[in-house]
Amino acid sequence: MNDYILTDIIDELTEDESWCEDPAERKSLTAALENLLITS
Amino acid sequence: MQLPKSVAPFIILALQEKSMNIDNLYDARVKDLLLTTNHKIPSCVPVVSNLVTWQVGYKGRKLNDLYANPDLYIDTMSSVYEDVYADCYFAIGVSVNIPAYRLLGCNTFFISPDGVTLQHKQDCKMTEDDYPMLIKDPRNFMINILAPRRYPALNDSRENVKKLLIQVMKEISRFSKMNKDLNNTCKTKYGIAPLRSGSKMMSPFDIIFDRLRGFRDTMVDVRRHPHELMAAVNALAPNYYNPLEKINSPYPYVGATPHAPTYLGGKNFEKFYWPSYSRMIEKIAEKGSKAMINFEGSWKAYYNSLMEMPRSSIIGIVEDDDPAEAKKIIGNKVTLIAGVQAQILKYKSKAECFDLAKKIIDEMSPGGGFMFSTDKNLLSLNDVNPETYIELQEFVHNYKAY
Repeated sequence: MNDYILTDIIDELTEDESWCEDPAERKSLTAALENLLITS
Repeated sequence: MQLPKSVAPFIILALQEKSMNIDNLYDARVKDLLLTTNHKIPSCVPVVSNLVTWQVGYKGRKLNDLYANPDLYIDTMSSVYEDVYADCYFAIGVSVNIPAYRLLGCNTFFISPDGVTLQHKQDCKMTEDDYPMLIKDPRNFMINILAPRRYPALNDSRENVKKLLIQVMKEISRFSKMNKDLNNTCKTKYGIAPLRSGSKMMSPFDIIFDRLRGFRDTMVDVRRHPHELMAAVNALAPNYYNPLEKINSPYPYVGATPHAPTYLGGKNFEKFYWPSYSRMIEKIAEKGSKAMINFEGSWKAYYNSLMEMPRSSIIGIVEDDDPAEAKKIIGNKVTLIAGVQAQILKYKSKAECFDLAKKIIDEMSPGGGFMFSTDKNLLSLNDVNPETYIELQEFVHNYKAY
């Protein structure tokens, strides 16, 4: 069992400008990440 | 090298004219697509390119090298159109981001030993006991419960997982830019128009069938857990309706690759698949665009359902069904994409392939609502006889104007 909730990390990254300054791009990338996580 | 002053202006002018002609060519092709998909008469039958990784083999290159080198990727995927005639394409390049999956420690998508084609081995991790969790909160189940089962690299500390996800998103961004640049190259250098936009129509049933329970277990659930399966389809559906609200242009079209219908049969299709699917088709039509659906396997049993949809709201890619019969039954409402099957292009003579193409075009083209393509994506160079394929694309383009 992991000590984190993955959706919390993703939501945090959607708000966190330290890794990507553009909010629209961050939102688009976290959405693409979620899509990738369910597509294998 | 510096050009002589007297020559340079002529070369620049020629380049500008060429560029202008490419723009005009692109616009004319888009105009024809809009006409034929609205059951109006285009200037000629649009010829579709159905290449995925075929051109990697054609150019003698390897997929791993292309993922690592954007320039090589764009050159390999686009320069094939110097030899292959096409007005438009379904998709260009590869959609699977292998480097991102590798970062996550996942090998369900992999490159074949030939170094050219991509494969997928189904490895679904949802059990029948998981249905209540999926129904209660699809996002929580698919991301928090299922993803760590699938991706070994997610079983790490919070800090490391966060760093990993940033790395994966940077790879997603890099790969997305490669594909945008490739699309742009096809437009500006070759004037070839895309058929599919970035929007996708995803069936909630196919999400369960392809990614959650898998082919075998979903078909078992149809019989043993129909209520849970139906509830799961309904719980997932809003996630796939909502993105369709963002459609703001009639073209390019919304692509769909439904996998389950050909295995379901009429009764189960009507019960589990069609209600959410038809709602999505109607939503896309309301937004002024069209659903471009691969009729994988046979869709003959579902022609009555397709006929319930608004006229010219669907573009269907015919695979195993008889195109002429499809034209007679649904051709007045559904734009059909059909042509010579890849298997025939591999083994039959050029003359036989040309004769078959003529017959198909003569039967399918009246009234518009038709485009010409191979029945399946071309993945490996040997999926067809390359010489026959290249000559056929050119032949179809020149065969008949309206």
